[in-house]
Amino acid sequence: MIVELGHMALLIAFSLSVFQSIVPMWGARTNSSKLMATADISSLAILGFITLAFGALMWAYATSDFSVVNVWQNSHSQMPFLYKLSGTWGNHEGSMLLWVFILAVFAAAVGVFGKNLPTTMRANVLGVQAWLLTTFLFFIVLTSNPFARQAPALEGKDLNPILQDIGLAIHPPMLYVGYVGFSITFAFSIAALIEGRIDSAWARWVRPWSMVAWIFLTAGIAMGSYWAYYELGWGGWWFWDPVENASFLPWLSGTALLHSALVMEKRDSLKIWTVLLAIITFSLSLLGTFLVRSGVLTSVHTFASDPARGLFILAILSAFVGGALFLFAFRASRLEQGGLFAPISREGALVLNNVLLSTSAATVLIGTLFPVVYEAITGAKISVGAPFFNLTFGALMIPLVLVMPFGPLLGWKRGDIIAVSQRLLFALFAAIVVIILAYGFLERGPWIAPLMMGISAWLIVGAFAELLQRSGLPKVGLKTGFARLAGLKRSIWATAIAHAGVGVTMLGIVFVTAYETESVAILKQGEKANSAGYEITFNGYQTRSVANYSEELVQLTIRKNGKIVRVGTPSKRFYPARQMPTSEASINTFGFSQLYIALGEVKPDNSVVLRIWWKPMITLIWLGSVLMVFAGGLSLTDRRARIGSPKLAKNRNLGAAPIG
Amino acid sequence: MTRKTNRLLWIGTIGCVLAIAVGLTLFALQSGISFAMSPSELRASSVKPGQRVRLFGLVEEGSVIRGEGLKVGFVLSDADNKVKVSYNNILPDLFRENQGIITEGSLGADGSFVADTVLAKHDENYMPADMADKLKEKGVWKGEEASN
Amino acid sequence: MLFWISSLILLFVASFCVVWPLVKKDTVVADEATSSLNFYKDQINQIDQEIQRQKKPSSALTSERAEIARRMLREARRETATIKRSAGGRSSLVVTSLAAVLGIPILSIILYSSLGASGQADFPLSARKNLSLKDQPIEDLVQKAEKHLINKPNDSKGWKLLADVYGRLNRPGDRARSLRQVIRIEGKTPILLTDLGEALTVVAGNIVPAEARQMFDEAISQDSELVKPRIYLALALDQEGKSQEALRIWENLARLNVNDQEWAKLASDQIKRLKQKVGASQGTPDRPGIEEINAMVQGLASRLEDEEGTLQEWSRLIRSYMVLDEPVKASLALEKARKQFSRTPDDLQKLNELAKQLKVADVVRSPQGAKE
Repeated sequence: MIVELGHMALLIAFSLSVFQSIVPMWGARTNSSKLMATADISSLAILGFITLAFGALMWAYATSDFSVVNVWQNSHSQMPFLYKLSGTWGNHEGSMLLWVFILAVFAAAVGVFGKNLPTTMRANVLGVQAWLLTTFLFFIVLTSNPFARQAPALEGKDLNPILQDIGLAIHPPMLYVGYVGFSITFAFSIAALIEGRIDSAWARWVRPWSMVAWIFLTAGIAMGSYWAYYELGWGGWWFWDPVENASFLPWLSGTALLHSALVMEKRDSLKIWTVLLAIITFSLSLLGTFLVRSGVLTSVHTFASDPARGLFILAILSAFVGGALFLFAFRASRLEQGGLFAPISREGALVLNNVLLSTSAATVLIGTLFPVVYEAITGAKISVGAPFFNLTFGALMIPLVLVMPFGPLLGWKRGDIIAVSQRLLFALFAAIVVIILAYGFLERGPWIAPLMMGISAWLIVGAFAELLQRSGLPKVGLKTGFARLAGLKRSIWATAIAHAGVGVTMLGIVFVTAYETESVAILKQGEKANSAGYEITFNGYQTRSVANYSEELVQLTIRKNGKIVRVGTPSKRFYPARQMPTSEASINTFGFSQLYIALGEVKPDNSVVLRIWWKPMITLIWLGSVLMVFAGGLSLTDRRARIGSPKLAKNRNLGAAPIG
Repeated sequence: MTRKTNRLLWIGTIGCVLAIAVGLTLFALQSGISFAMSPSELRASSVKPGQRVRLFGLVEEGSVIRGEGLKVGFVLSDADNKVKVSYNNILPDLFRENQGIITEGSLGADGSFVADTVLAKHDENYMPADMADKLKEKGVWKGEEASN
Repeated sequence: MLFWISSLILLFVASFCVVWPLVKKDTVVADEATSSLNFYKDQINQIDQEIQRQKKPSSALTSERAEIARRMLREARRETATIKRSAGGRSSLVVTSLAAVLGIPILSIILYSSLGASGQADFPLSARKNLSLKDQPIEDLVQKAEKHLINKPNDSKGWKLLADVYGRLNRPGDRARSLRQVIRIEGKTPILLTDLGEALTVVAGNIVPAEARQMFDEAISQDSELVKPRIYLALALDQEGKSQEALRIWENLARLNVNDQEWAKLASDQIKRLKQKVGASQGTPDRPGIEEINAMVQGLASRLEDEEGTLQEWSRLIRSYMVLDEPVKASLALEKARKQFSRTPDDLQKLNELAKQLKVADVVRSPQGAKE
């Protein structure tokens, strides 16, 4: 009964969203406050019903109810409980439900936290959210219903073993929160276009939402990358695979959006561009979730695709993207134009940031879609590989990174480039030192690597220049300096940390790309292999059977200078229900670097084939992302960004307000 | 700075970035792409030895020969044609006979294919769409064959 | 029933949620409380605070404040120009309320009645465990056995047992899989080959597939006394339309001295059936079965003339000649085969055994021995 109630709840949510698609917007047109007021409550109700539905599906997964087709296809009664739960969204139907659930969460959040929005704006935003909800609920109900039933089966077909991992339990939901979060900015843009009015307050309302989305997207991409790195056993952390590109595209344009919204908020200009960017970002998010799934693009890790759904998805995509752009083309001219501004100024730097980010997003998009277009025209199948992306994207990132430290130091309206350059001298100095050291101490590797390291150093050190400037350090003395640092607005800290995070990630990428070593060793029991000064001894292997898989476990000892530093157990697992093997690599972290050992196979003569990578400084890639996520969170706590009502803020100010 | 020079400056900057991006894209598209083909297409095409291509097909049953060390040879087929592939690295987990795989590498002088990358799909029902199309055309597609 | 009551409650909640704001007393929120004006006020407040904190206000802050104040003025002018809110026309409220009260439940129920399975109860793992007490142990046993064999894949006894269980559970596919494992470990014994062939035949819906046919052939060539593979071979031949040959096998089988009424009956039934079938095709002058087998044998013979064949091929050739009632040719073939395998005593012995079994005469002893 619980399953069926879940199904019913899903359908009620659909009916409610049909209602919410029409009534509040009609209210906004006719200025009827009652009609508009339905939006807040119905968005909460929709969230409630979708939660019921999602909960029911999760319950079916938790109890291994194989009378539900979806559960039967993607679960197994002997799976660990955590993976039974995560199996709920480890498949197409369940993940669609999760997607819609998050959409409902965001819509309800606008209803709850958006009390300071103008009423018509809120009604329109919630109306647009309801369009999205209606469409995707319709899609679920029609083509991917997770509540379809069957005659009860005794055992399930198991979750794809590659997905039975803690990384999967968290990373797709994270990405989804990111993707779906941009639906709010999309809804705000459409609402602004419908009302034909937009001001700098709009940017203030949109910024926290896009910040939330951006934080989750950043975290999701970083986790996805780490998941691929340790689970797929190829030792790669980024493949420029369509799925990855699809998540990276909205990240690029979302980053641009964050910056352009800043200009709009402060200077009341760049409005049309910001609206367009918000539309593009969400379109790219839709592309990220669905294009890969439509089967148009093939990728190394996707859910199995179904052409019937593909067509539907393409129709939805073109309706929303096309519709939004159409509306934009018609209404954008009604929006107030902002003026031009001086190239050497904060806003000038932010515009340059936008130009570079959107251009690089465009090149990634071209690389991702080129095979589809090429095939449509010539019929030949091609693939666009990593070299393309490394070249185009890399080349566009370098100027961006070079200019980045300047941005926050320049004043609004008119900046003083010479003064700023002087403040950045120490960052330049740091960069030169790093380059010299790198040339001196690192022997092999391409000539460009030390240069790139210098640029990373320039970025990391330069990111903190604004902090130094504002605190007056080191001139004013440590005490006042630190007191001032502590008193700085959190958004300034956030900018510095986020920019430094980009530098840290870049440093990790440069290190790994230029200095990683890879070797393959075939070892008999007791034999040793060497990698980057570590000695790896093969002690023997065992086979054992655990829960729903069996595994071949290889025991290794890792020594440095004769001393045992780690014990590694890379393994190969076999999942009988799907007749599918997977690899579990042994990853050993030393400082920021990792020794990555994957088991190739156990040969008939009991020798093992190991693939050993030395990945210098690789964890910096993800540490940098952690910094970016942290910075995003920090900027949200800046009270300027708070979504709460102004009155509340005022009250707080009257008391002895703590700084920040 | 007058309004006009300001505007020109912006247009110039944006134009420059775009021009560079377009140039890079065109340049990289010439070298960064590789053709993906089935054994029949490879035979029919004018791919020169040494040119990088992706080759996809089914690993023919009984064709996998393991040499010393990691050397492995197998035959990729698409019903009409076969290509011998040699590879000297660890095969992916899902590599097995009768499985659809993608290899990347180039033709050797003797007409056999030297692969440096072998990709097997991480979903046993999954086959790259382009390959499934081809194999369906030729009637070799073994979509969801029973596992027993 | 409980389901429909719960559903009705859900539907009521859904309708109520959206109807409530429509029917409750009008609370037109003072609009200025929720407009951009407030946002600007807040912004200015913050700048004022900042200015207070800094004591010596920077010019950037004051100019920012002035700019915001300007935007605020503009906004205020715009807002007074715009309309007052109304609660909304009565008719539109009535229509919407109706849509909420009727439309939402009706749409939901219509959709559910076409998509849902209202009667179907949940069927979680715990319920299954209690329900199928009888089936569960065997299922469990089999799963345990499978798991055990994953760890000890070379336990041939285990695989054999599992194959038996699968056979009884009527899971021929799994049985075949297990038997292949046994063969991998123990090698191709005629009995195993026959069992595997049988399993494959059952999988194929009692049509003997080519692979199984080969297995029966191989089993017979290894041990021609075995009954089971011969029965299946007869089945295969019959299915291939070679009823004559099938009949021959059954006639041979019937000659076996088995004290078993059922067996005798089965054999005589089969013979009767096949004789009818052969009789039906007797109208055609030439007998295609024999014709075909002749061609096949000739092909094999000429191939073995040119190149060295395997022991099995030679055995098959000799056997075929005997079956075709050509003992001389069989003897000649035997002689050639002996020559070829003269250096491998094992094979030679097998040949001799075969000759003895089939009663093939030795050519050497006959006066025309020189003829070749």
